[in-house]
Amino acid sequence: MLRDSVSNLTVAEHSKYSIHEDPAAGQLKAALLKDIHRSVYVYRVDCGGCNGCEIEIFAALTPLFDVERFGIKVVSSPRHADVLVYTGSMTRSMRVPALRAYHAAPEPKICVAYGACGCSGGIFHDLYCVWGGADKFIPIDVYIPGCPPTPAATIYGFAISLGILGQKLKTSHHVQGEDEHVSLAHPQVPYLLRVQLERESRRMAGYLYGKQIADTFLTMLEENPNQVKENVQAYLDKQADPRLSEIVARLVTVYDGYQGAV
Amino acid sequence: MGRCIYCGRCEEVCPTGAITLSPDFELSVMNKQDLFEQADYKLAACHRCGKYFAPVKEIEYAGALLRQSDLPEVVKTNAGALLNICPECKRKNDVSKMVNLYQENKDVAR
Repeated sequence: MLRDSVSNLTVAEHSKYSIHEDPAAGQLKAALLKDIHRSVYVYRVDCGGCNGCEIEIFAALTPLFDVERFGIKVVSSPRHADVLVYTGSMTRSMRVPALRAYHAAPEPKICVAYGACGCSGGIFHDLYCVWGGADKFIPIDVYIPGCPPTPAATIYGFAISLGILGQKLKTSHHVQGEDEHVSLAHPQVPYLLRVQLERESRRMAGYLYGKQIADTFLTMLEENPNQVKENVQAYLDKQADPRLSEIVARLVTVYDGYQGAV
Repeated sequence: MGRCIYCGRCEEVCPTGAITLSPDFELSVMNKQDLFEQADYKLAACHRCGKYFAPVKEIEYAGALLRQSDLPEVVKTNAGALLNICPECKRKNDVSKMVNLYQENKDVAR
């Protein structure tokens, strides 16, 4: 019945049929959260994801994180479920099975949008076959962002959906202040020298550590430009790391080259 | 934040170091609006055509970088004069300069 009536609709037509939660079901849900004295059963609905989210959900079930110690169990039928976890962006062909899973689960049920795709369509949001996140079709109670969410984020998300923990993230709106300016990094060092040093450092150590190493070198350069080589040598002796020594030696070469050119 | 895949590309390319990724994992929300962060910045109008083309903050930063560099003063003044002009007007400026140069060369050749 449901399959016949909904499967040929377009996105715009579909939104007319999107499910709105019954107020009575909302009350039941609040009562469930308050009085629940048993395990919660979770059913996963994969609406068209890459299976990264499934892998992380199963990682949360492994002995290392072990969500079953909190009584959270993954079941294989929506008929048993208290919590429906929608993973993956909502594809055109999976929207009807997703709705059928929603209708098959008994009230009160908690719906969770899991992963970047489940929350908003993720990196697939503008594909021809993707109709958005799970929240376009199903009343979602909790959003767990991440690509994929780590097992720790998963457990936190379940704790939020069961009302055990409160959420930390709040929406924010920043308006530019009167005297708001971007501060320059290392204003004493000429810009082109800074770029050359940062590039060489990144080339050697990747962007994260490269940035840290270049920042250390530039700070030493700013503090005392005349004695920079002695200070760098003292720093390297203290760190006693041959990899760091080699990278910083290259930075010194770049610095010498720049000084020579000027 | 709902669409972020935490690849760190923005952290990698951020020129001012404003973006850093943290190991924080407590990001789940009950309300989708809480996944959004909004920021409003003033836009600068082009000095030639008056169209808004970039945030004031960005142009100020570009100017500060130009002053920080040890390029010759001539280069700094020439580039500084083009700071508050939109890309389209810059293109027009370049083309008119080239046309003038061509005309002058032609006159000299005669």
